[in-house]
Order: sequence, then C-alpha cells, then structure tokens
Amino acid sequence: MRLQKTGIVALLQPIRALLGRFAVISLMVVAFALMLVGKAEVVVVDRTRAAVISAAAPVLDVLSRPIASAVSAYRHVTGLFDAYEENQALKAEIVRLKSLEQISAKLAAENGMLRSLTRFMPDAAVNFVSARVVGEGGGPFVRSILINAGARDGVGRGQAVVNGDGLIGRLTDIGSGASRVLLLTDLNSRVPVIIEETRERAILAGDNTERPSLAYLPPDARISSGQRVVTSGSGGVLPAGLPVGTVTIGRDGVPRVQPFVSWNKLEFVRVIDFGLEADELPETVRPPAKRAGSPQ
Amino acid sequence: MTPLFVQDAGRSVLAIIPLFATVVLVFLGAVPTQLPEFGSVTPVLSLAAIYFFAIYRPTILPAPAVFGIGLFQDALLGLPFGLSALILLGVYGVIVSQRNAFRGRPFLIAWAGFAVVMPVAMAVTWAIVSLFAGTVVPPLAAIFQALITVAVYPLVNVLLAALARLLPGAS
Repeated sequence: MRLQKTGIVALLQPIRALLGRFAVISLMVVAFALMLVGKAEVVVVDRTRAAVISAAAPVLDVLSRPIASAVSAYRHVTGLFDAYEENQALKAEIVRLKSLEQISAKLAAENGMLRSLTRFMPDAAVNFVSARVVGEGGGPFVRSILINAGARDGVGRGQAVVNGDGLIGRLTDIGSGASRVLLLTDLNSRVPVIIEETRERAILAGDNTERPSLAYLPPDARISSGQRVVTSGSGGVLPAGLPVGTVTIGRDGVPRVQPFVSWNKLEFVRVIDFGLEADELPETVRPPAKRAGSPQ
Repeated sequence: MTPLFVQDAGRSVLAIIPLFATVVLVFLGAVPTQLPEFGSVTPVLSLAAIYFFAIYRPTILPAPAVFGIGLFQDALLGLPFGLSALILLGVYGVIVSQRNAFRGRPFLIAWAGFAVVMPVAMAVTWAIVSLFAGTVVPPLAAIFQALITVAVYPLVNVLLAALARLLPGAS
C-alpha cells in the first residue's frame, strides 16, 4: 500500500510540476492582458486601484508617522546650528518684503478699481481641502504620491494639488479616503501653462526627470532662463495663475521648467476644488448634446 | 500531544507568513521618506522577497499569491496595473525551475544570482514601461534602483531566513 502510494505520488510529480509551471505562465498572460486593458482606463481597473489605495492609506499613514517625526527631529537639531544665519537672512527678507507690501497694496487698490471699471468677471469660487502625504509611489517609472483625502472629502479627478511653493500635480485615482497625485514630473503629466512675462502658452510635459519640458511653444516664443511659469487655466480644470516653476534652458537648447516645489519635502498639501470635473469643459465650448446627460 | 486540528490551524496561520511578510515589504516601499538622501529611489523589496521564497519555500508562496502581491504593488505605487505581477511572476517562475542551483549552496551564490536577476527584471520593466509610454523613459533611476536592491538583498535574506525558520517543514 505504502509503496503504491509513493508510486502514484512519483507519477503525479511531473504533472504537478507542469501544472505549477502552467499556473505561472497563465498568470503572466493574465497580468499582461490586465496591463493592456488597464491602459484603456477601464472602470473595473480604476475602481480596484482606488479600493486598494483607500484600504492601504490608513496603514501607510501609521507607518509614515514615526518616519515623519524622526525627520522633523533631525531637521530640528540641524536647524539649531544655522539658526543665527537663518535669522539674519530672515531679517533681510523682512526689509525686502515690507517694500513689496507697499507696492502690492497700491496695486491691489488699483486693480480693484480697474476691475470695477471694466466689469471684469472674477474666477469661480475656489475650495481647498488639506491633506497629508501618506505614500510615495512608483520608484523610477512613476512619479506620484498618495494623500489621505478622497471622495468623501469632496476631492475629484483632475483637481490641482499645491503646497506653499506651488503646483505639485493633479489627482488621478480617487479612493474613498485617499487618492493618488500624479506629479508634474511624471511621464503622463500634461499641464497647460503660460510664461508669465511674455504671456506665451505651452504644455508642461513631464518625462520622469526632475525638470519637465515645455511642449507646443509657439516657434517664435521669446523664452529665456529665469522666466516664471504659471498655470494658464486653459481647459478650465485648473485655476489660472498657480505658480509652477522657472524656465531653464539646458545645454541641448530644450526649454525646461524647474518646479518651485521641492519633491523631498512634501508633507502637507492642498487640493484645489475649482468646481469643475476633469472631463467637463467650460460652458462656452461644451457641445450641447453632452449637456443633457450631465448632472450639473 | 497537540490535537491534529490545532496543528492544522497553526500551520495555516504560519503558511500566510510569507505572503504577509512580502506585503509588509511592499508597504515599506511606499512609505514617504522625505529625505533628499533617499530621494525617489527605494529598493524593490518585494522582488527580493519573491526571489528568496522562490528558492527556499516555493510551495508556501504559490504563483497566485505572487500574482496578488504584484497587483497590490501596482495599485499602491501607481504602476501600470499588471506590470509588477508580470515581472514578479517571471522572476518566480525562472527561479523556482532553477532553485536546485541555489539550495544548500553558500549565501554568496544566491546573492550573485540575485545580482543577475535584478538588473534583468529591471531592464524588462524599463522596456515595457517605455513601450507603453511610447517614449524612452530615462533609465538612470532604474539602474540606481537595481543597484540599491542588490545591495540590500543580504538584509532581506537574513530577515526572511529568520522568518522561514518559524514555518512548518523547515529544514
């Protein structure tokens, strides 16, 4: 009996091995098929991703806190050493800002007066949602972060994410309590921008490097290093005038943008709800047929 | 003597340890570090774990578990859905079939094997991402990531080996 059993087991061994190999290969085929399907932004894939993000965010939140505390303790200690220099620099900054304050107060008054003269239509009211960065994503292939604000906090796909320095990116996957921010530097990031000084429009196109490039600039654009780049508001999803970065022209002559945001110090961010969904267009350019089915 | 069903229950609890450990490593890869010294390049700990289990305990981490871990990693890190699953399964399949070359050999052999597997896996990932994006993704960060992962492999190996000793059927 014993012998017979081992005989059967020995006989089944290659079949089991074959099944095991088959499982690996068939699952690899499924994985590849999922990649192709996912590329087309299928709802099921999007929902799965959103669900995973929502489920994982609380765990990441807990894991990220001790690291955040350790980092802030480290910064506190190192900060003590250059407190004197920093104080001097801040005093100089205050002197400079005081003169700027005078100018800006004057300009604000003048601007308000001119607006009332020309019946200028102000931008729609903007809401903010603040969130904590709980996860980093993707390594060398994807530039994204996870934040702990989601659909239940009222944020939506395509909305701009900023911090005190400037634009960080836009929301892509929205879970119930967490969402993914596609950073400006990601391969798939495209943001309509404008060169503040010359009013020339371009698309800020990420390519996974630290400095996204300026695509679709007019051929005769007067562009030079150091010019400020802000969002143009084209498409209506992002508010106009969010600071993005400064132009740098590399050795290859390609105009790129050095973002204002320092990617390693992202801890808290704000999501800007501009009152429009990503796939909606402003009233004036929307085809009438699409209007009928939309909830707004 | 412990009743059989208690042993069984204990075994099934222990059997999910590799899966759990690998999921923890996937999580660790997504925790924000905020330090410029680390930047956006973190080691692919999940791949190191899959490599380890494929050599030493493949029965306890079967292919569907590897598939699930891969999909979880893709969703968490925002990679193309299915990419990590494909790569991890590829590494798993190759190593399981070649595991006799590593078992019972000194650790250095396993490490050397990983130093070959990791860059190949990274190159394939890079090629797929580039193909999908329709453009050549800058490879520098991927090269760094492969190097860092190879460098931290001994640490993962030590941790998982300690864990594997807890598992049923440890030799």
